[in-house]
Order: sequence, then C-alpha cells, then structure tokens
Amino acid sequence: MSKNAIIPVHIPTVEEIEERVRSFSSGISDADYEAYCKENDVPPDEFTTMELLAIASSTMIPNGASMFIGTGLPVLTMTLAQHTINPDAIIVMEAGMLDPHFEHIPVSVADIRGAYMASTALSMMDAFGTYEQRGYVTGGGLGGAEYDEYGNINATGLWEAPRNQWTSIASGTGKGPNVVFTGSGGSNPIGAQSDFILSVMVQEKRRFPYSVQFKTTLAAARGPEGESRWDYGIPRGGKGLMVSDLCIMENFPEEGINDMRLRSVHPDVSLKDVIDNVMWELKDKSGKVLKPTDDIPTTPTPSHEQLKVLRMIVDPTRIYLKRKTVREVAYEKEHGKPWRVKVKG
Amino acid sequence: MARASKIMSIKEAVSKFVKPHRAWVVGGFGYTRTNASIPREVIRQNIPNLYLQTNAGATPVMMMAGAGQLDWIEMTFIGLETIQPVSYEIRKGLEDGNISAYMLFSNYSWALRTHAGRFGMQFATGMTDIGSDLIEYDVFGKAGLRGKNEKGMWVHPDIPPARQVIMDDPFDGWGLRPHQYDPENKWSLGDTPDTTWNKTAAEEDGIFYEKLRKQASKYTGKAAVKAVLYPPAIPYLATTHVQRCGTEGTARIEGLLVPDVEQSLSAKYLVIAAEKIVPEEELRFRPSENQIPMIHVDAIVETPWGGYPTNVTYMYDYDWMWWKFYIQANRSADTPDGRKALAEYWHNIVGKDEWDFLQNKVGTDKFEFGKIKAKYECPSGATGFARLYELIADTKYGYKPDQYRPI
Repeated sequence: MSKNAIIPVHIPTVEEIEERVRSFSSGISDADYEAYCKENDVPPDEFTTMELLAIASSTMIPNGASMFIGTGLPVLTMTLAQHTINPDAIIVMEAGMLDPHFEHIPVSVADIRGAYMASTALSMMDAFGTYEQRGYVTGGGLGGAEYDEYGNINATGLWEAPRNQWTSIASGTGKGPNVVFTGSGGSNPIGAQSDFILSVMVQEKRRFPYSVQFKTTLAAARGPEGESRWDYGIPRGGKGLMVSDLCIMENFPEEGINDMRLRSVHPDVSLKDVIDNVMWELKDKSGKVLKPTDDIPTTPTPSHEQLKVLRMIVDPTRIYLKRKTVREVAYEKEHGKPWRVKVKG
Repeated sequence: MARASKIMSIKEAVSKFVKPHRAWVVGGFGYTRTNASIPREVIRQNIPNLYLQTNAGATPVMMMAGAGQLDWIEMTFIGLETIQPVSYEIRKGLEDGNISAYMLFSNYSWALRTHAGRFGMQFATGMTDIGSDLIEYDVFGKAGLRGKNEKGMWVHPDIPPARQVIMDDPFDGWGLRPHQYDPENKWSLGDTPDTTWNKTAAEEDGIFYEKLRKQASKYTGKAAVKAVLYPPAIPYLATTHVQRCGTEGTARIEGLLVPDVEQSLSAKYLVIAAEKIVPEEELRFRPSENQIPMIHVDAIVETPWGGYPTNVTYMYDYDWMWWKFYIQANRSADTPDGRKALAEYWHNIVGKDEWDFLQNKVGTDKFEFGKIKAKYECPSGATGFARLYELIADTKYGYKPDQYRPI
C-alpha cells in the first residue's frame, strides 16, 4: 500500500471526542433547559437523528479549523462547534462571508443572516479565490444525492445512458436526464480545495453505489492509485468523512487508504443495517470486510450539555431540527411514536 | 456635449435589450438581491426562447421556467436551499426536454469566467471542476454551438469554442499557493511557509508539489502540474439589481455582492435596475464604495421593491411566505396541462406593470390545478404595499430578524 504524500489532517478520534465533550459545560441551567423543552415539546433527555448528526459532526471538526459550509446541517454543525468545544473554528460561506457569527440561522449561503459579524462579506470570487484557492480553508461540509466508495458525490443527475454518453438534452432524443439534481453550486471547488470534506447524506443502498453516475464533486480521494485526485492534478485534499443517518465512514489517504472505511455506527443502529445500505463491500480501517456480527465502535452519544446548546442557542425555533429523516418518518408510521434515542449518563 | 440620459422605463429596457437565444446573465443569488423586476417584465412581454446564465441565481430562472419562456440555461445550481432541494419547474423542464440545453458549471468555474470577462482577459485559471465529470459534459458542443462557421465567424457570439482547456502549467506550479519555499535559499535563510491554514497542500516530503509534478499525468499524458483555462463569460446582456444608481449609471451595492460585480462588468450591455435613482453626486462623494462604473451602464431603470420576493439588504427582507406558496404551485410542472396552468399563474401575477404588481398582486397568490391547491398566506393577511412594508429591514441587521420562517 503506497502512501500519498500529504500531511494528515487530524480528525479527532472517538476517544478524543469523548474526552473533550466530558469536560464541556454550557452554563445553561437544567431548569431553563427543561422549561425550553416543555415549551417546544421535546424530551430533555432524548435526541433525534438530526440532533445526533449535528452533534456528531460538530465534534469531528479539527480544532480551530476553517470550514466552508452550505446551509442546513452544516450550519448547525459549525455554530454548535463554535459554541461548545471548538470556539476558534471559522466559518466560510460561498457568497463571500469570512468568519461570521450567526445570530439568526441563514437559510441560504447567500442569506444576509449568514454575514452577521463577519470579518468580510465580499464576492463569490473572494470566497473561492481569496479564501479557498489561496489555502485558507481546512474543510468543507457538503451534501449530495449519491456517494460512492471513494467519496465522490453526484449532485447533478441520473441518466440511463452509459458514462460519457449522457443525453445532453440537445441530443436529438428530446429528453434530458432521467432525474435532475441541483448541480454543483459550490460543491465541486469546495471538494477540490479543502483539506477534508465532511459529507452528510441519508444512507440508502441506491444512494451509496459502487461508483456514482456523475462525479460532481471529489469529496475524498476520487479513486484508487492511478485514478486518484492527485493523478488528475489536484494539489491538495483527499481526506473524506461521511456522516450518514446510520454511521460514520472515513478514509486515510496519508496511509494509502483511499476508499471509505467504517468508523462508527450510530446508537441504536445495527451494523447489518449499515452493511445492507451500501453497494460496495464495507471494510473497517484494517481492511477487513465487515460482517453484521463484527464489533465496531458506537458514535459518541450527545451529552445533555451539547443538546442544551444545540436546542437553545443554535436553532431555538427548530428551523432545521424539526426535520425528520425518511427512516424516522417510517418508524413513526409503524410504531405510532417518534424515533428517539436516550442520552447516556 | 451633454451626456445622453440612460434612464428609461422597464418596458423600454426589456424590449430593447432582451433577445431570444442571446445570453442574458441575471444578477442576484437565491434569496438575495435578485433582479426580479426585469424577469417580471420579460414575462409580461412574453419573450420566448431565452438563453439564461446565472451563478446560483435560481429565482429568476425559476420564474421564467414557470412562465415557459426558457430554452437554454447555463447554470451552476438550480436548488432552492432549505425549502425545495431542486427548483421543480426547472427540473421538469430539463427532464422533459422543454428546456433544450443545459450547460453545467460550478460556482467557481463560472465566477472565473465572469472574472476573465470583467477584466477583458482571454482566460482565467483556477483549480476547480478538474477530475470531475463537469469537465466532460458539454451540451453546447454536442449541439454544434461552438467554434466557427463557414464565414470564419463564431457559430454563436456568446458561446466560446471550448468549455475549458486543460494544459501542463507553463510555469511549473510556481503560482500555486501555498507558495513553494526553500528555507535554505540564499536570499532569506530560514524562510518559512505561507501563513495559509490548508495543511494537505502545505508540505510534501519537505518540498512543495514535487509529488504532484510526478503523479499528475491525466489529460495531457505527461506528468506535470496542471492548469485549467476557462474562457471569459461575455454575455450579451447583464441585468443587476442595486440599492442605488446615480443618474449617469454609477451604481452601489450594499450587503453581499455575490457574483454581481463580475457578471455586470463582463457583459456587452448592462441594465441596472435600482431601488432608487439618486443624483450622481450622492454616490460620487464616496467613490470607493461604488462597484459599477457608469461607463459600463447602458440603461438605468428605477424599480422600487424590484428585488421582491428576495432580500435587498438594509432595505427589505425576503418574503419567505411567497416561496412557501410557490413550492406547492410549481408541482404542477409535472404535466403539460399543469405547466400551462403555471404559465397562466405567472402571466397573471406579474400584473400590467410593476406598480400594478406591487399594489394589487403581492400577497394575492393563489393557484389551483387538479389536486394542487396553493394559497399565499402571511400571518397578518396583508397584501400589496401593506405586506411590503412588513418586510422592511432592521438597520442593524439588514434583514427582518423576527420574520416568521416556517419550513
């Protein structure tokens, strides 16, 4: 296994995260928190998938990292990181904001709410050029429609035609792609120029194919040696983290491991569910192909203190926290009660 | 000689400058300072076969897709963040082939094109799209719109001969940042690296980019640092909404600039739609705060509330409830009859002119087609100017901090 000549970005390990979270206190009293929970009809000691994803993602941001983020979960992730265990972390947004401190949640990367107390709010050329191409971005937070073994994101579309014969609408068939997604937006350059990419997606087998139908964004190493991002001329990046609603995956390009390996499985989720919802053979860091009975670490459970901050400071009106995953909706339909997991300890 | 006035009505500006199948780049980004007044007038005049370009400015594209007037689009992003993953009428237009050409860029590759266009550069380079399928996907090429015709002229004046060119960097990566450094160089012994925070590009075995020089062999067949060359964007027309424009065309944007300065200055013709036309002197007392020089402006249109339903920072906020309404209505784009109904909605809601729209149409949106029923509902029930005044921005924030934004 040859090593890629890159300096590793240190993503905190499960143990390091548990240590950092243990020593964090929000300063919010239990009485205030309970009053908030009562008013908003949320159980104080149980969390939803959306809350788990925001909290788990926030703990994996390297200390003091600058993160180029999109809206939704990445906004929650970074705001939470700043208000909890990573106060020096910096937000970059593609409309040109550098180091804002949100008071009201932005609904778009060009929502002026996202510029509040920013150092500068210039143009998109500045976001991608002055900040990112110049090397002032550590990581990016991205979503997409498909994600593959080497961390490529498809945010463009699905075609029936084989690769490189995409019906391009002006093809004479009178039809375009079978399904059209959003397109790259800032996703591609964020993937190209960041040290690492934290991808967030709902995990379904069809959305986790062996290889995506259209490589919109290289959110990790792109492919094995010979087909990697470095073979195509990208001078940096390659580290990928995937936070799905079932698990967390990670690659280790500095050790020559370009493909995505399982890092942890979320609380109350089975390893079988994770394996069944990926088209490729899922491995652990050692390269062992995983079986449902194998032992894999559990994603650290949110603490009360993290939940207090996420709920009361980051998204108090629950603009994003109200959202449910497809699995949560199905669970609620089947069991007549919402999906919730208890906070440990 | 007195300078000729560029001020004209929106009706005149649209009929003079908006041409079918000529590239029209529309300013703004998503929910922010979108140039919405001119698309509304284009819908009134029912100009067909539009060729639209934007850097993530989905709102005007969505409006004109809904009205059934688009043929070609050159875009980076067609999502409505937070509220609808993909703008539905654009999506259906592309899937069904009603929009017949779709050219894809990323926000950075498009920004690089407008950057080159602004400065009259023959190309600009940037590390984006490389290694991805965006590089391979060339609709305009397949449609025969690139290159020269038998007369030796460009097949289409607004479409460059190639999407991009990838070549070995003739400067051998000297310009890559962080900049390669040598602590033992004789000019400054003990030299240290750039202060950039990016780690993975910072050092490779102590020598920057050596590994890349040996490994990057795709595209050109030779191992070397690569450069991606993007041609300039030279749209036929740019329309941009600003807070204030002087009587001669000097314009000032407040709040986020998004792609607007580069886009505006790259176009052949530029129409500025301003909340307010002010004496030139008002803006010239502080020229460093202006972004658009009057020499580039071909027409000035006064369009108060012209950015509605999007935010025009420090003046008014976006009207979240309008999108809440519209993402229900645009579901009708699924069938030909539904598309017809949606186009009717658009041709009705824009009113006779901007004043009719602002006074009589804002907040009255209603749509019914088959099972689809949508109605604009804001908490107060206000319509017209009463609703618009509710959106006035708080001066501290530039938006309305307590706006009701249900999802």
